[in-house]
Amino acid sequence: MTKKRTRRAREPVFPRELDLFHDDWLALTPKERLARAWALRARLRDPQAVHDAKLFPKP
Amino acid sequence: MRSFFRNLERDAVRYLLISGQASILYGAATFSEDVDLWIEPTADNIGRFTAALHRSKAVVHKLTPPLTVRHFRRGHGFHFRVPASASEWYLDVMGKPPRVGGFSAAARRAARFDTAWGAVPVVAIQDLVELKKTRRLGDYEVISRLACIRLKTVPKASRPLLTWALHNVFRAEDAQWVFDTWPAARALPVVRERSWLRTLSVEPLVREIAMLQKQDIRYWSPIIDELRAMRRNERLIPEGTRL
Repeated sequence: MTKKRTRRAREPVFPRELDLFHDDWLALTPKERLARAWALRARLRDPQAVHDAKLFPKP
Repeated sequence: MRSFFRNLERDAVRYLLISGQASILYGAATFSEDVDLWIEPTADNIGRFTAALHRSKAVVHKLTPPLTVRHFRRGHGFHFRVPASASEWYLDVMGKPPRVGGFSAAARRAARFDTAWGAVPVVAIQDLVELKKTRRLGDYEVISRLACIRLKTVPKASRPLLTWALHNVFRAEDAQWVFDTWPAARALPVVRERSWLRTLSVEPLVREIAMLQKQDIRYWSPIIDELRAMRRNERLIPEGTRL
């Protein structure tokens, strides 16, 4: 006979502890965040396509 | 990039960094492919901004009306490509962004960030949250993070600030974090107004976001109609034009 598993009453439903990457991101300085985000942008194959798709969406 | 922002300083342009790059500086987003600026919509300032664009060798990108005070105050967007050593980048500019009131008051609320581009004036979190209530679903995650970041950065979370944050959380984990950290927040009237906060259920949250998306679409509709009319009448600035 298997015992039915129940969640403990105090266990969070949506644990923010799973949001590890976000906490690391917040630990950076704004200057570091901007530099990393811009480095990520440099890896886009077609920045114009990304920009235009967001700004001028097809109806 | 740095030289563009230097040119803005040199020409004494009154501007605020908004949207994606502002969200990155605050820590609520990790990526944005362009730079968005809010320019004070006065004739003098638009003139100074145009001079900075010229100095930066920027060219007009797509669907850009003439840079007049009327077009800036009407809420139109202006789009440019700016050359850089690696590759060109995209600059989107507005004189009257939606939902945030006038430039002068926003400039007084703004923060200043030290960046590789220099010391940049950035729109305040509460204004950024309103700016981000767009038709794009992904913006609501950013808004929710911004609300939590603002709560984390104050020494004491007052009742008005908790109310504001609970008005602007759009993720169940963020709402729960607020309730876990400040249990008394469960009793605030906002929890009755936003029904999904009581149960952290998805359906009413989705309906609420859909309503905000519709409001944004309604806001833009007459502006886009005016832009279409300008395109039909060949009144837009041709793509590739250097100002």
